[in-house]
Amino acid sequence: MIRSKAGIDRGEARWLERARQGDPQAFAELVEAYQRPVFNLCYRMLGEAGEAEDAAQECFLRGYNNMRRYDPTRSFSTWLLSIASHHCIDQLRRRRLPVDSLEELEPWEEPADQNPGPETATARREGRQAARALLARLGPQDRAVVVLRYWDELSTEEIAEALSLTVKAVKSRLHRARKQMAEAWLQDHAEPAWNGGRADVASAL
Amino acid sequence: MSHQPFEDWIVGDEALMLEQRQALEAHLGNCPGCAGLATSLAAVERTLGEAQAVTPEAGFGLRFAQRLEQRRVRDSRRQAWRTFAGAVAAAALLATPMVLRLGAEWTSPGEMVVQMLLRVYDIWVGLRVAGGFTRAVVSNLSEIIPPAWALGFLAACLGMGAAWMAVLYRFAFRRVKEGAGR
Repeated sequence: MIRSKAGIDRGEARWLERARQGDPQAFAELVEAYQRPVFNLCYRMLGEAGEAEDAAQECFLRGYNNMRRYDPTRSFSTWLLSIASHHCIDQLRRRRLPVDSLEELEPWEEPADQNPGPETATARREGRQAARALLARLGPQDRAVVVLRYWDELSTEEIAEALSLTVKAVKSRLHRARKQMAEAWLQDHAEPAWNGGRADVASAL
Repeated sequence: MSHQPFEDWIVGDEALMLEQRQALEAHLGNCPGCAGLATSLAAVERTLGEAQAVTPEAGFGLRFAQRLEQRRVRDSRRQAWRTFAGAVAAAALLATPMVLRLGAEWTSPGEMVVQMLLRVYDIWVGLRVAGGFTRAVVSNLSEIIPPAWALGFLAACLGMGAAWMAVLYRFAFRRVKEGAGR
């Protein structure tokens, strides 16, 4: 697969060009290709599958309507994730402040797990809950920075572009978010880490 | 005990140099707070790293196509209603002076009916006179206006019509077609 500087292969470049000219079929191909990262971002940001589906659909609609504004020399994935991040940040700001403890988290709707194994499903569910509890502590923009870094593996520069921030601001937000999540983890796990987890210190570095 | 720069090194996203790493290890041996922070952060990173990307339910693309179609229909309806409302508002604006003038002349319901009938009759007579005048002009058009002038006038009318259609297409119909303006 031949990829350009912007990380787009030739087939995708054709879809993008056709989608920019208003071809809904070409945009449908892009929806198929990018539904997973966009949905995952929305889910990690909003913490609930139903809302994430709605938000992801809305992001693709916005993308479709603004395709003429997309600059083909830049990464389409970053552009799309930028739309999704801004949409989810707006949604979260309309809601309420981040929670301070696990008890404050509202009941949530799980996304469909396509793996039928019960043990794997349980492990994944627990993992999702733990990640959700950590992200719920963060403010909307810090949460977006963390999701784009840990799940979408964007560079600091790409995150800055996606969230319309400076590189310095992204670094500062990531620093603050990591500290906040580490402190929350410490608070949620009754046994102090320095008593029970001294052996982990070396591996933590 | 000062926790800086150790706290920044623990929480920071950048790789440490050998000397920094050694100094941090020495500090962690004496500082339970920073050791706790480092261990917790490792657990956080592990949790985030292990949480796999979630996928939407099957049929996401199909649901998107349906939503896109619904949005198009909604936008077309909105555009049609806006055009209709604009036309009604313009008509009301134009009719206001006439209504105000007629209203000033009315003193009773009977007179109002008479006045309205008289206005309708006036309009009818006016249209007939205008029709007769137009017929006379058209039948003698070649004598009144030279053919080149008439063709120029016709071309100007067609040009204005085309410009009007282009404006309508650009600002009304194409916007609906593209689903823009949200």
